[in-house]
Amino acid sequence: MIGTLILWGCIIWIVPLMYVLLRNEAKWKKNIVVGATLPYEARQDPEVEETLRRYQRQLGWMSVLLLLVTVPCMFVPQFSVQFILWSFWLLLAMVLLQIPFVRTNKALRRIKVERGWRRQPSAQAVSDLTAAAVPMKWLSPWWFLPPLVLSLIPMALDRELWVLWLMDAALVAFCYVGYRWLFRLRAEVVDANTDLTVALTHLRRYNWGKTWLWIAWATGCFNLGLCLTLEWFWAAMAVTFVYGAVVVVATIGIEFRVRRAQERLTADSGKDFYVDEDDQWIWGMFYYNPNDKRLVVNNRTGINTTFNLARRGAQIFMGLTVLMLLALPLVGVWLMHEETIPVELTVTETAVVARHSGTEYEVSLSDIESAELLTERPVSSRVAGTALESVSKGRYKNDEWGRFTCCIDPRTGPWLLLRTTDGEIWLFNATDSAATEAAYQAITAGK
Amino acid sequence: MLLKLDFDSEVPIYQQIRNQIVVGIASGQLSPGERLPATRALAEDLGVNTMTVSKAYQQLRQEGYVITDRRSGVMVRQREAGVPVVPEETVKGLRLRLCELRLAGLSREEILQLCDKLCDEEVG
Repeated sequence: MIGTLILWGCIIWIVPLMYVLLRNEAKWKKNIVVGATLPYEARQDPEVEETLRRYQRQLGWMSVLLLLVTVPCMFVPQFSVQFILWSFWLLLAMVLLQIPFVRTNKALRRIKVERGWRRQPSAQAVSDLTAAAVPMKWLSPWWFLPPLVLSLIPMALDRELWVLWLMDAALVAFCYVGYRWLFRLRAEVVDANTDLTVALTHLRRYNWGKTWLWIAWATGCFNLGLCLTLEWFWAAMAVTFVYGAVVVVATIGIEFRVRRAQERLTADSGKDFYVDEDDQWIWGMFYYNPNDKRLVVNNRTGINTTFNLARRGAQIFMGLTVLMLLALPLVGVWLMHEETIPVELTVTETAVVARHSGTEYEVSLSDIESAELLTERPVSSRVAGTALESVSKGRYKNDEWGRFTCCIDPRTGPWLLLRTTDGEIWLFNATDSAATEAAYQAITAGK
Repeated sequence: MLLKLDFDSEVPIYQQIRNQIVVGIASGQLSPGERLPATRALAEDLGVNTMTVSKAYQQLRQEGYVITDRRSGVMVRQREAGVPVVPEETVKGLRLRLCELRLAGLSREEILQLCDKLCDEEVG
């Protein structure tokens, strides 16, 4: 049940979050609403207003429907089946919630053509020379160094999990890379007002740095926090939850603050000349501009960036992302396979071998110091490895033994406890109880 | 000043950049001493190749409209007092345009009227 709740908690918030973000698109920012650029007069147009109201209603119903679907998923007993169902639900949510956006975008573009609001040629790029001349003040890399150091400390404290700590540290380092190279230095031209362009540009640049710095510090602290609490399951869970919450709240908070500022600053824009790049945005969400040499471009509102799908690199990246998302249910299929395979335990002439799926643990008979057959499964928690209803394998720990290696079927006893001359502890068994007992007999007979 | 590139136009991109900056200087939208974006910044802003902007700036520099300073980057050149020096290329271009207008059937008076009108629009 804990696994179900954790899985539920990790996924369920995506729909409300998408709802809030997409609903916010119905507010006018930089003369753009639901991905369509319209003049100031469109804001009072009854058809535009009705289209936007309909969009919000559709979005609301779609979100409620998606949340209701999750209720029966909670009661599916098998974890792997649950995972498959959640994967499909996630894919469905990502597609369904975009449908009202696309439909509204098309409707608004139709209104735009009907009213004669389309003003400039499609293949046009506009730059404000004064605003573009304002140099970007990059944050010093020194700001990113303390979180990197924090994230590297666990490497010294817990060498066994060095891969995990190194990956987290790499994430902190990536924050600086992302800050510097996933951003396009483009002035935010909305109309002919240079002061407005400078203000909007500064707003985006400042908050872009702030976002990455938040993520870097949160990740650095998380890495250290996780290392210090790893021995206590709930404390480690709490640290992970706080980290996730801080990152989501900080990034979404900054995004909304920027959107609100963009809304406020451009409240009077669009009366005379205004920049219209709608032709370069498919459905108002995918940027496709063969005239633009850049791979990464800034989203039109908020602070995020996106890819120029006219570039080969972006097409490959997007293709791989879509493939990975579509392959998500396959992870559930793999889990199902893991759940159904029995745990095996055999004793050869020289070693005890525990096997499950592709994993194999081998302990040399000559290294075994003592062997004990336990009738009660010791209470333990996972450090790194797999923890399914039918199999626990990898590194585990408990108060009595500390860390040990485990490959057991938790449902069926007995369990074989081995201690080796190097001080290592091993806990094995087989799904077939008789095999465990036979292995114990073979080991003790040899001693 | 807003710089607008038309990618459907037959005029090369660097030429469009150069032309609009010249118009901007002449109309006072770009004042003498004003800093222009760095080559890379303008290329990034317009989504064009750095070489394209570099070529436009180079032409503007050769024609004397802008100067390059190691610290301040590219700046609009201060107009020097005295007899204005018109680049030879400009005179050649003007001569060609005058011929085209004559071939289009405009009289001398009509050409002068047109020039007068354009001067009012662009230079003030």
